[in-house]
Amino acid sequence: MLLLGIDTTTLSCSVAIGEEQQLFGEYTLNIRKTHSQRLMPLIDSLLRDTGFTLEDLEGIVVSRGPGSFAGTRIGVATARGISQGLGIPVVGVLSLEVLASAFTAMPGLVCPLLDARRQQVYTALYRVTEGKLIEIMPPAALHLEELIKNIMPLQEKVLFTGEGVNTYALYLHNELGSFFAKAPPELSINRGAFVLKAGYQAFSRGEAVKYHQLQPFYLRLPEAERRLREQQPKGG
Amino acid sequence: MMKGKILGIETSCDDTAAAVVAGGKTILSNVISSQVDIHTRFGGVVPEVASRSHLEVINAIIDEALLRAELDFSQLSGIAVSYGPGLVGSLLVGVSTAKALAFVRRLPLAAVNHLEGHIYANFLTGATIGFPFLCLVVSGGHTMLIWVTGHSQMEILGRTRDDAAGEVFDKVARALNLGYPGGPVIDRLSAKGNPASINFPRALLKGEENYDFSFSGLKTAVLNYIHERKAQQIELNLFDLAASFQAAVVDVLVQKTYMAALAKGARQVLLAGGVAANAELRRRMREVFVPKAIELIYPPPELCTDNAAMIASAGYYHLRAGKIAGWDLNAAPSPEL
Ligand SMILES: [Zn+2]
Repeated sequence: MLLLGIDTTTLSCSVAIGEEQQLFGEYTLNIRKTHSQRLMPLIDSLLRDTGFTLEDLEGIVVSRGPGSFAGTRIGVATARGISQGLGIPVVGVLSLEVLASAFTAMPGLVCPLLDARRQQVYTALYRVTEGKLIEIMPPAALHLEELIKNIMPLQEKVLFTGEGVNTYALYLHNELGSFFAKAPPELSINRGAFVLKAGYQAFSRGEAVKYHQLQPFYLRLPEAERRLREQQPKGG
Repeated sequence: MMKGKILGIETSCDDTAAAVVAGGKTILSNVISSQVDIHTRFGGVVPEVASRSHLEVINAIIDEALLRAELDFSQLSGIAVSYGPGLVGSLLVGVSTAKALAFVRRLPLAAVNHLEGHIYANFLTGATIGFPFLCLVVSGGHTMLIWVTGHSQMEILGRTRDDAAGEVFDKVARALNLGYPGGPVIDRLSAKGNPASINFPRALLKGEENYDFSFSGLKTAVLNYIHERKAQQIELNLFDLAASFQAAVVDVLVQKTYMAALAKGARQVLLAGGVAANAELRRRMREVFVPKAIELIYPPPELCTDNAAMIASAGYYHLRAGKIAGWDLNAAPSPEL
C-alpha cells in the first residue's frame, strides 16, 4: 500500500512516501518557514523526484496533533483535500506517536515532549514491546513537575524525544538522574518516515476515515472557550 | 475556458463557503455555513474558534456545492480561493484545502483578494458592467472607494482612516446589547425611527479630492450618547437612536461616493460588501444617482455578505488572464488590492 505521510504539527515540515517495508523518499525542512508555503511544493517535489504519480497513491497519513494549532490545521486540511480530490482513504496519527515510532527497535520507555506554551508540554508515555508502542500514559498537556511525578515511580530509564526536549533536558536530567536519556537531534523532530510507520499501524487497526471525518487532535480548548467556561458557575 | 466552471472557496472570517460559477457570471451553486451561532456566545468572532469551525465543515461544504451544481471535480476548469485580507488562521483552512484539491485534480488555482471578490459579486447580478466603474466597498473590515479600470486593475481613491463602517455598526449594536452582527438589526430598527432626532457628527474630512473616511468620531459620539443616557437613567429610544446613527454613516458614504463619481465621470457605480446590504444605503444611493443617469448596481443581500460565488467569479477572470497561483500560496492578513 503506497502511502503519503505529512507532519506539520511542529516547526518541522515533513513529507514522505513509502510502502510498509520500504521508504522511497522523505523531505524534511526544520526551519522557521511557514508550513503553508512549504508543504505543497514539498509534496510536489517528492512525487516528481520519486517518480510516482498521484494515481499511484493508495492512502494518506497525517499527523493530527497535538502541536501548533495552525500548523496542525494546515496538515489536516491538506490531507483532507488530497483524500477528497483523489478519493483515497486518510488516517490520522498522533504527533507524539510519530516521535516515539523512531525508537521501536529497542524495548523501553519513550516520552515525547512538545512545547505547549503556558509552561506546559504535550506529552505521553509509550513502552516499546516487540517492536510495537504500548501507551502507558495518554497524551496530555502537563507541567513538567506533573510529568516527573508520573515517571518517577517507574524507576526505569526513559528516552525523551521531541522538539521540546532541548528546552527541558537540564531540568529533566537534574530530576531524573540516570533515568534520563535524550534522543539524538535528528530523531527528535517530527518526520514523515515515522508518520508512515505510525500510519501503517493505524491503517491495520482499521482507523482509516473519510476525509470529512478526519479531525485535528488539539488537546486544548481555544483560550476564549476556556475563559468562558471558567467564568460559568460550576456544577450547573 | 469561456464557459469554464470555477469552484470558489471562502473562509476569511466566520463563514465557510463554497460555490460553483460558470463563465464568471452564472451561479450553479452557492453554499454558506454560518458560524454566527457559535460566535454569539463570545460576543464577536474568536479567531481560533473560527479556524476550528472552518476545518470541521469545509470539505462537506465543497461536496455540497458540487452536488447542487450537479458536477464532479473532473468537470471543473479551475479553483479559486480567497487568500486575504482576513483572519490568517481562517484563511489558511481555505487556502490549504484549495491548494490540495487543485494539485491533485491538476486544476489551475486562482488566488483572489477577498475585497476584489466583493466587487465581483456585482458580476453575478446579470447587469452589464463596463470598465471603468466606481465601486464603494463597505464591510465589517473595510470602507473603500475604488476606481476600477479593468479586471484586477484598481485605483484606491479613498479608504477609512480608522474604523470601517461595518465595524461601527457592530460596536454600536454591542453597546445596545443588540447582538452580533449589528448591521441587520440596526437597519431593521432604523426603519421605525426618526433619523433627524439626534444630530450625530458627519466627518467629511477637508480637501477637494479627499475620498477618505473617518468613523471613529461618530462611534465615540454614539457610544458617549448611550453611556450618558444610561448614567442619567434616561430611557433610550432605540428606533430613533439607530435611525440617527445609521443616517450619519449613510450620509458620509453617499456624499463621498457622489463626489468621486462626479470627479471621475463615472457611468456606473457599484456597491459591495456586507454593509451594501443596508436598505437605507441603497435607497439613498438610488436617490442620488438615478436622477443623474448614473447606473447604480448592487448585489442582492445574500451576495453582499461573504460568499464563495464572488470568489469564483473573480477567479474566473484571473485564470482567463493567465494569472495562476503557485503551490507556495500563503494566507495574508492584509494584502493590497
Ligand atoms: Zn467580506
